This record gives sequence, C-alpha cells and structure tokens, in this order.
Amino acid sequence: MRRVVWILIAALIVLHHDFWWWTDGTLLGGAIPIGLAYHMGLSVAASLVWLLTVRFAWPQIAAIPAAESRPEKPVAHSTTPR
Amino acid sequence: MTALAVIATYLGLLLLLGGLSAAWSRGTSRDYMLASHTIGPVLLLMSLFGTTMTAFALVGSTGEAFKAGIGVYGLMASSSGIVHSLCFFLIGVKLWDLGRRHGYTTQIQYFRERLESNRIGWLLFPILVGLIVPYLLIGVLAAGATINGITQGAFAEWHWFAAAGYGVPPWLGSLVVCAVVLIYVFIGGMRGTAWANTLQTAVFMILGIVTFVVVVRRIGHRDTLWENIRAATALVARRHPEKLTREGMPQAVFAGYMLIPLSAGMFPHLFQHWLTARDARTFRLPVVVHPLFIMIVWAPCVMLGVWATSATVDGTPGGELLIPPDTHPNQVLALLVAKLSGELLSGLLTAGILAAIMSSLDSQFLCLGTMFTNDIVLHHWGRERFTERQIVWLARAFIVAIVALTYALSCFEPRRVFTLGIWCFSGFAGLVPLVLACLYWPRLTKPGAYASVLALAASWLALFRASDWAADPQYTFAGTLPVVTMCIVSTAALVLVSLLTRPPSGRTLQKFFPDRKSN
Repeated sequence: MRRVVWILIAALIVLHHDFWWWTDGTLLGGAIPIGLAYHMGLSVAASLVWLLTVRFAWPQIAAIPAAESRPEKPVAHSTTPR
Repeated sequence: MTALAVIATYLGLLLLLGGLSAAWSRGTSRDYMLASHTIGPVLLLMSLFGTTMTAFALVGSTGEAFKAGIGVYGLMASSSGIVHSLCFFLIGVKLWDLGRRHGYTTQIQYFRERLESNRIGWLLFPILVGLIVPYLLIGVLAAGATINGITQGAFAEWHWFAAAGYGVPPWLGSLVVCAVVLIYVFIGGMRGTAWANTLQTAVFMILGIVTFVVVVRRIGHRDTLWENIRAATALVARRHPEKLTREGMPQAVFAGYMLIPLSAGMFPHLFQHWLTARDARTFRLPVVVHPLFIMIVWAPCVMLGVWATSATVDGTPGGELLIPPDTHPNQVLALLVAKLSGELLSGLLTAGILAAIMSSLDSQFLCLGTMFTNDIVLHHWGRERFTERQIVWLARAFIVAIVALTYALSCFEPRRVFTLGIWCFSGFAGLVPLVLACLYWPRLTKPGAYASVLALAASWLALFRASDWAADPQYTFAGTLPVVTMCIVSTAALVLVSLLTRPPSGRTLQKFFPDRKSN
C-alpha cells in the first residue's frame, strides 16, 4: 500500500500539468472555467491522497521517553569550527 | 470611518489575545519560542495554514488573476496543496522528531550538528534572514495598500492625506499593523502567535467567503449566488475571454511554478511551528486538510480577480468598468471590497485581509528573534552567560530591530506583491535539496552542503540582478522560472561535491541515521 500511495503522489504531480485544458474556454454550468474547475478537483484529490498517506504510509516514529527528550539545546561556547 | 473603527477593534482584540496568552507563559525561553511543545492538531493546522497563507494568498492572488487570469490557481494553489503537505510529511515530521530528541530550536542548530560544521550557521543565517526580509516586506506592503484602498476618500478634509487619495497613507497603515503584531509577539511569544494565528485563520477564511458572496452579488445584479457567478463570468467571457483560459501563459513557466511551494520545506518560521507539535500524530490533520483550506481561500480570490477585469458599475456588458484596467494589482481586492460593500462589511472584510497578512508576519518576526538569539548570541557567547529572562529579551530586541528595518524598506519598495514573493520563495526552494539530503542521504558531506548553499546564493543573486532587481515581473531564464535553475544548480553542486569528498564521521551517521547498516 505504501508503494501505491507514492505512485498516487507522483500521479498528482504529473496531472498538475494539464496541457489539455490550456486554451479550452468551456464554462462548467456556464460559470466555472474548466481549467479552474480541474485544478480545484486536483486540490480535493490531493487531500484524499494525503488521507491515504497518513493512513497507510505514516512513518514509524518511536515515542520519546521523557528522559531522552532534550529540554534545551546546550550551546557550547565556541567560535571555532568543529 | 465605520470601516476604520472595525479594523481598530479587530487589532485591539489581537492585542488582548496576546495579553491573555502571556498569562499561560511558563517564563522560559523554550516556552516563549516553542510554546513548550504543547500545540495540538487543530492549533497546528491553523498555525501552519495561517503562516503559509499570506498577503500573497489574498491580495497577491486576486491582483495576479486580474492580470493573468485563472491560471494563477494552478500556478500557486493546487501545486501548494500537493507540495506543502509533501513538505510537512517528508521534512516536518522528521525534523520534529530530531528536534525533540536533540533539543533543537532552529534549523541552523540541526544543520551545524548534521554537517559537523560550526561555520555553516554563519553562512546560512544571513541567507535565511535575507530571504525572510522580502517575505516580511510582502506583508507590510500589502497591509498598507489594503488599509489605504479601503479608506480612500474617507478623509476628504485632511489635505495631508491628499497624495494617498484622502485615505490612510500606506506608510501609516503599515506602521500600525507592524506595531500591533510586534506587541502581541512581544508579549505572547509562540503561544500568543499560535492563538492569534488560529483566530486570524478562522477570521480570514470566514470573511473571505463572505467577501466572495457579497462582491459577486453586487457584480452580477441577480437573485441567487449561482446566477450571480454565471453573470459575472459572462461579463469576462465577453470582454476578456483569455482570462478564463491560460492563453499566453508559457507551459514551461507553469511547470516551473511547481517548485515554488517547495519553499515551505525551508521556511524557518514553519520549522519553528513544526517543533511546537505535541507529538508526530499532530501532523496528520494539517497534512490532509491543508489542500482543502488552500482551495477554500484561493479559488474565490482568483475568481474575484478575474471578474474584476470586466465587472461594470451597472452590471451591463457595455457599462463603465468597476476597476480601471491600470489599477495596481495590490489594490484590486481592496478596491472591490470598498466599492461593492457597505461600511461595516467593508471594515470586516478588510480585517479578514489583515488577518491573513498578520498571521504570517507574527511567525516570521518570532522566528527571526529565535534564530538571532540561538544561532548567533547563545552559540557565540554561551547560554551560561544569560538568564532565561535575558534570552527572551534578546529575542525581543532583535525582533524590534528587524521590524524597524523592514518597515523602513517598505517605505521605498513599491514592487508587486506577487513578484516579490516569487523571488523570496525561489531562494527558499533552492535550499530544499540541502534539507532533504541532510535528512535522507547519509553520503551528504560538509563541503557538499557548502557548495550547494553557495551555488544557490550565487545563482539567486545573478538571476535577481538579471531581472532588474524584480522590476521585470515576466523575467524568465532558459524559458522558465529562475527557481528551476536555482534548484538544479544547488542540487548538482550538492551531489557532485559530496561524492568527491570524505563522508561524514561514523558518530554523526550513527546519530542521524541509526537504522542504517554500516558498510
């Protein structure tokens, strides 16, 4: 499923370049230009793909034990390159 | 005057919110800069969205659609829906994890350890600040233009406002907005910023929809919303049919715009917001909902800009144009609102626009103070020299200095919001190969990172100069946007130099890639 999700993300990027609607002045319902409607649809599709991503391809992040979580970055008094 | 009163009330509300959030402060620098990692999914969603949606999203999108038509949505909105969430997912979650484990507050702290280089911070700091300042300028300029647009003619007796069309002069509007944001960031720190962002994001989304409905009703002169949308579009189809397609928009340029939203991966203020998350799962809601929120804000703005090209005072095709064709793009939205809504609504809608602007300014102000304090002062002189209270005051002092500088620049910088934004975003996008390689490519070396940053800086400067310092908004290089060249150059330098130089030490690899099998 993880692979399918990555294929879908790649598909979104490819489908973003919709050369086929470039000069098409069709108005959906006489109101919304087809080129705009398509890209709004792409926004909805992106949201759905991200939903699949968080469901099936979310990275495994181990919980950080309180003792291991560093409260502050200790800053060395250093002006020399390491 | 009613509009001004509404705006003043809204600004007062923000100050109140900043004051309230201060009551929750734990008094530590970590709380001031990262809200002690207590931000949950909804606040994170609203903060990230409010921060990425700037004047650029409302004022810039409307103005650019007025000039270039519906293609603006594909250029910036649908691409951002894909790429921003990708950045949150690939970069944000991973950096959050590293930040919590190793105690980072800024990007530079991470880069210094990952690249085993102290000096990388001295190189990156001026570049990041230099790129943030134009980004701040976008907000400051748009705030002044918006308030001026909405108040034109309101001060007919005030002769010293004559040059500003008898409205609040842009320099004064910008000054007031800077002061308000400065005060609530000053008082409330990151918690105040997150709270204010949430309120402001809700305000500009709701009022954006109200603006859309009110304006289209006045343009269409019909009974129902749908009939009005049809009527408004029909006017465009008669006068400017090219605005309803992407005629004249080069495909290579359109493709190049896909790289612009990558900039979110290197915004220092987004990095700081990521670190405020309570846990990794907190990112899930922003990743999924961000593209929908973008659509809700951008689609109406783009349509308003397109309709503004052909809308007439009486709604007839041959009537007098509502917005003159030579109107400055930054002022199109404000003029539409001023001409087509009543005083009260006009004030509310302007508050919505200002909300979008300020919800980015606050995070940027705060991150600059955080970077200066952590990456320069504490790194150079050592944390032990300062008390927690002094650290917070150092951050505040730098914020005031940067706001003063930005404000001074805004008084002399009349560039289009959209053009200015593109250059700033291009620079950040060109740095994304560096952060991706740091996170996912163990073979990245210190010289490779330096080469990438220097190549990016050189190509950015050369191309910015060639565009006559952004005076030419149509500037392209090799037939497409300069960002394409910048990304190619910085990636090529990174890969080539890394492969030719010694890999990072085993200790660093073990620290940042613990699951990697050693060869």
